[in-house]
Amino acid sequence: MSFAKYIRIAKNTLQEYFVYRVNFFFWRLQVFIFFVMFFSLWSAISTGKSNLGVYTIPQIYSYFVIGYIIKALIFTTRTQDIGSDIQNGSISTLFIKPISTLKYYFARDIIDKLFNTFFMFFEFILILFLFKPSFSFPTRENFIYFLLFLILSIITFFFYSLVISFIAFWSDDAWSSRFLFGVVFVTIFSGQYIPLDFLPTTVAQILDYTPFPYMFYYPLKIWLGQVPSNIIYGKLFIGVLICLFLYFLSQLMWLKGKQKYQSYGN
Amino acid sequence: MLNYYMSIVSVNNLSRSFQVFDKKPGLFASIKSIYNRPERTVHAVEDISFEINKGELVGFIGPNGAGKTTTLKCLSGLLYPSSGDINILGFKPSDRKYNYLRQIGFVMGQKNQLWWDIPPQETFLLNKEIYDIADNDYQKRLDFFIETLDIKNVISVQTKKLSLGQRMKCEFVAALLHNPKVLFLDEPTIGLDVVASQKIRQFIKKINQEYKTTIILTSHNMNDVEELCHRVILIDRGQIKFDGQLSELTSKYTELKILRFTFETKVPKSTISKFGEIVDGNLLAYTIKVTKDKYLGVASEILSSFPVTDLNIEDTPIEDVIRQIYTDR
Repeated sequence: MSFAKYIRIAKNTLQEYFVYRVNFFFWRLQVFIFFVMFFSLWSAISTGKSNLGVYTIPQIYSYFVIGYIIKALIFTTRTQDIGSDIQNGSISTLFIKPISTLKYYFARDIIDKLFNTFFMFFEFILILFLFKPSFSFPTRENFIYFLLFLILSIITFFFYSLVISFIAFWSDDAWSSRFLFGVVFVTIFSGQYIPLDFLPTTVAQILDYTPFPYMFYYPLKIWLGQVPSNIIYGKLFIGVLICLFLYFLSQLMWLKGKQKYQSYGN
Repeated sequence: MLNYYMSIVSVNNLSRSFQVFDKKPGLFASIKSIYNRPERTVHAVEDISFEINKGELVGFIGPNGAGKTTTLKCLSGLLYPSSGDINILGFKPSDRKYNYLRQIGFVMGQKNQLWWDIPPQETFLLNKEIYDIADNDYQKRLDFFIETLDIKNVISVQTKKLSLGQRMKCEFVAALLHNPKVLFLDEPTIGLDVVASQKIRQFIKKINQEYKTTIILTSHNMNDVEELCHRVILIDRGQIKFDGQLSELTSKYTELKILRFTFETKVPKSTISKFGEIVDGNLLAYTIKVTKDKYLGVASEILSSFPVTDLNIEDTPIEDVIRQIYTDR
């Protein structure tokens, strides 16, 4: 199998970003503004306190600052294009080529992640300079688990996002399902705004059996050393199971969806 | 039997239907459609069969919604047939096998395969990798296309900044760089001006002749059909109404000949109208429609009775024939 075509896809994708420089700049700016807003909010909440729930102040800062870094790796994606490409029929141009459509989007996804991550580092330096947050660092063992969970998060979100996009094969309402399941659910239930242990216990327990905490919350909890090593494997097991489920579901939807595809528009 | 072995495209009893939702106009109907959406099956293509030989250039013609594009999409593998079999180059298109997709090309008049925000040459390079084209072959073909289509200064400009004609030329290059054995063209000259359409037609002809590419095209532009296709398949309401030579179509569907006379002196309209239906006329020149069984007699009578300086006898233009077929639906 030739990877040259996927490298070329990545190169072309990168060239697209340079065309829409301002777009990209504003995208990063809004991500940064959101961070500043939430960071300021949590700073205000923690003023005069030594702890917030199970978090020390350096830990809560770390949760959001490290979260800012991994967000660029996990949640930046081009899989969201698939839904509209199915809806307007432009995915047809991929179907008639000897190329794996999913690998095509994956190649674009990788570039999207790398490009965002590259700029995120500059923003990260700016955050350190502006807020001088105190940090909490993981042990070497936890750092390895963190990386493992981070990879799992990236893969889980990729397949989750595919599943959401493939709804477009069956429903014309692809945009609203993307917004609800792909944006609202993910941002709230993955713990991007509030660490999930601030939610009522029952809610957090239910969420444990959904993909969301494995996309963001658990990697950070492991970074902070708040998941005991005897529980980590259990969480990893459930996370892998959910990821596998999403993988098989996405493959099934892809297989059935291609048969259902109506290639709208001439 | 020989025809069977030469056939590169074989379609047997192909049908394709779609489910559509009916909705009455207006806001209230929109609200109602949230909980009540009557579903209806549309049979876009119904039980059609045909074969196409290697190197043939076949035109699919028919009114809007006749099923032309649906057929083309089934042939290319974009759509799964509801029933029936398609065999192209030994493959079932809907399997979308790598070796099948390598051998086909598809130009969709209303859809871009070129990357919109970057120059066409970047899409060409991507296609080079996708189809695994050797450097030499790529350069040779690209040079040929650039020269034939006169697009040297076009391929390095952002696709979105190109004119429709320039873009279509580049779409052709992208679809042909890998030298496909079968090329599908869906409305390749749609929206193009006369000059650009002509250029594209010449190019299609050249590709068909030089590379022996089997070409299947749909078009509403009868110039495309007349200039390019010896064989046409007329499709209407999902069914094949005619499959044969273009000249046969004319003779099958029209009983009329067109006679054009030019006279030395003025001839009253009422006199000429006795011979046939006047299409056009200005006392010194007339165009009339006469049935095939009478046109020789009519021509001879007018020649002997009036001071004729010029006479032309033509078949009914294909465009009129098609229009008549569509109107008689």
